[in-house]
Amino acid sequence: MPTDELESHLRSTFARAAADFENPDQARQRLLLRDYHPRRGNRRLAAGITTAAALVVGLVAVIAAVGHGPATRATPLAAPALRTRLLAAIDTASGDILYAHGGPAPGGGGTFQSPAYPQPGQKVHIRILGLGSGGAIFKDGEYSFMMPSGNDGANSYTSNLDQGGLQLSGTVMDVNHFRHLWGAWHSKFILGFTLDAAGIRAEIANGQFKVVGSTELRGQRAVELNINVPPNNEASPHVTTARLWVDATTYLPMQQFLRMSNGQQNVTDYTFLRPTAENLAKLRPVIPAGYTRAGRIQVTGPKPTMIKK
Amino acid sequence: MDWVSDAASRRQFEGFAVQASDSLLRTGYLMTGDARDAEDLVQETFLRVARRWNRVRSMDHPAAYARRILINLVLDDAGRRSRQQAELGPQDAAIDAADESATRALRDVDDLAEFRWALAQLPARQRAVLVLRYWADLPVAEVADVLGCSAATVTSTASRAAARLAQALTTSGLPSTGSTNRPS
Repeated sequence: MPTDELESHLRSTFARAAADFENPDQARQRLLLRDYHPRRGNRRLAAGITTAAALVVGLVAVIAAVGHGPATRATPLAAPALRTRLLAAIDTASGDILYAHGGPAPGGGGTFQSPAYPQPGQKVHIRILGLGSGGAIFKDGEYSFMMPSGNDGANSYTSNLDQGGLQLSGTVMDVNHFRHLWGAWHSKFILGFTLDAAGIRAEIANGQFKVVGSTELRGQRAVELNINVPPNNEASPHVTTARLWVDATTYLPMQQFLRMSNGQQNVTDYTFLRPTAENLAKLRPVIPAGYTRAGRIQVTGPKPTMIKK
Repeated sequence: MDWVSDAASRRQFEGFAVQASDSLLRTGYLMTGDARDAEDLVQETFLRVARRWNRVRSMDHPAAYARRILINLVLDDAGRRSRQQAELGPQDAAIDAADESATRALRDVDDLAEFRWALAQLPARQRAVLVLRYWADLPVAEVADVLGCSAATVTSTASRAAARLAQALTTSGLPSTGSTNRPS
C-alpha cells in the first residue's frame, strides 16, 4: 500500500493532469452530437434522438418525427377546420409553460419549458427534472437561451432537425443531488429536439393526421388524432403507430402515444400552464439548503478527490 | 438487442451521456494521454452502453458501468498490442524505498505533459489501477471489481505502478511501450 503522503500526491497530481484536458466542451459537444442508435427509417426521428442527446433540453418531438418521412409524403388527411383550430390553439398558448412528462420509465419527472412555442428573439427556459422510482430527484437542471431568428415556422423547425439541430449558447444550471453541489455556467449546446409544441404544430401544419373520433381523457372531452406514419422498411425499432389526443375545448395537445416496431410503447402527457409567478417558479431548479456552489467540472465531474491527512 | 428505442428511454440515455461524458473523457485522457484517443474511447463506450441501455438504466450506477467499459477497452487494446508486455515493475522488496522516491518525484511535478508521458509508460493495467484509485477515487475493492482481480493485487499493483511512475519521472529510463512519444 503506498504511503498516505504518496497517495495524497498521486491524487493531487492526477487531478491536475485531468484538469489539463484541452477543450473538453468541444469534445463533449462532438460526442453528444453523434448518433448512438441504429438508423431509424425516419430522418426526423433519428435527428431528434441524436441532437437531443446533445442537450437533453426537452423532449424529442416524436410526433414531428413520424409524420413525414424523407421519401414519402402522404396525402394530407386533416379536416381543414380542425387543423385551423389546432394551429390557433398552439399559437394562443405559445406564451404558456409546457409541462411534458410520462413514459414507461419509473418515476419520470418531466420537462418544463417556457415559452411553449418560442418565437425568434424570445428567451427560452427549459428545466429537466428527473425523479427516481421513490420520488427522489436524480436530475435537476435548467437551460436558458435566446431563440435565434429564422426558426419561427414549421418548415424551419423541421429543417433544423434535418441539419442536426440549432447551435446555441446560453446558461446551464445544474443541481447535483448526489454530491450536494450546484453550479451555473455559460455554455454552448445543441438544441435538437423538440420544443414539443413546435413539433406538434409543425405536424399539424403539414396536415399529416386524420381524426379518429371523440373520447375522454383525464376526465375531459378529447379528440383523438391518428398521426400519419409513412411506410418504413428499415431495421427495427421504428415508430409504427402515433396517436395524439387534443382537448376538445381548447384544442391543445393532451397526450401522445407511440408504439414501436419492437412492441415498446410510450405515452407523454402535456399540460399547458399559465405563466403565473407560481408556475414560472417551476422553471427553476430547487437548491436545497446546505448545498455548495461549485464550478461546472465539480458539479458534473466525478467525485472530488479527497486528500487524506 | 435492447437499443435505446423509446422516447423516455432515450431521454434517460441522453441525460446519462451528458452527465457522464466529462468524467469519462478525463478518465480516457489519463488512460491514453491523448485527447482524441479519449474522445474515441468515450464514443465507443457510449455505443456499447446504448446497445444495452434497457438493462444499464436499471443499474444503481450506470456511470460506473460505462467507466468499466472504457477501462476494459483500453486494457483489451493494450493486450492486443503487447501480449508479452510485463505488467509488473520493481520487485516487492523495492517498493518501500520506492514510495519515498515516488513521493519526491510527484511533489516536483510541474510539467503535466511530462506526467502524462510517464503515465503512458506504465503497462495499461497499472495505469488503470492508478487512474481508478487516485483520479476516480474508487475504494480498493471497487478497483478490484472493475479489473477482475483481488484487493491485494490492486494494492500491490498501485505501489508498483507508483514506483514505476516515479522512475519514469526522475530518470526517463523506462523502456518505451512503443506507443507514446516523449513530449518535446
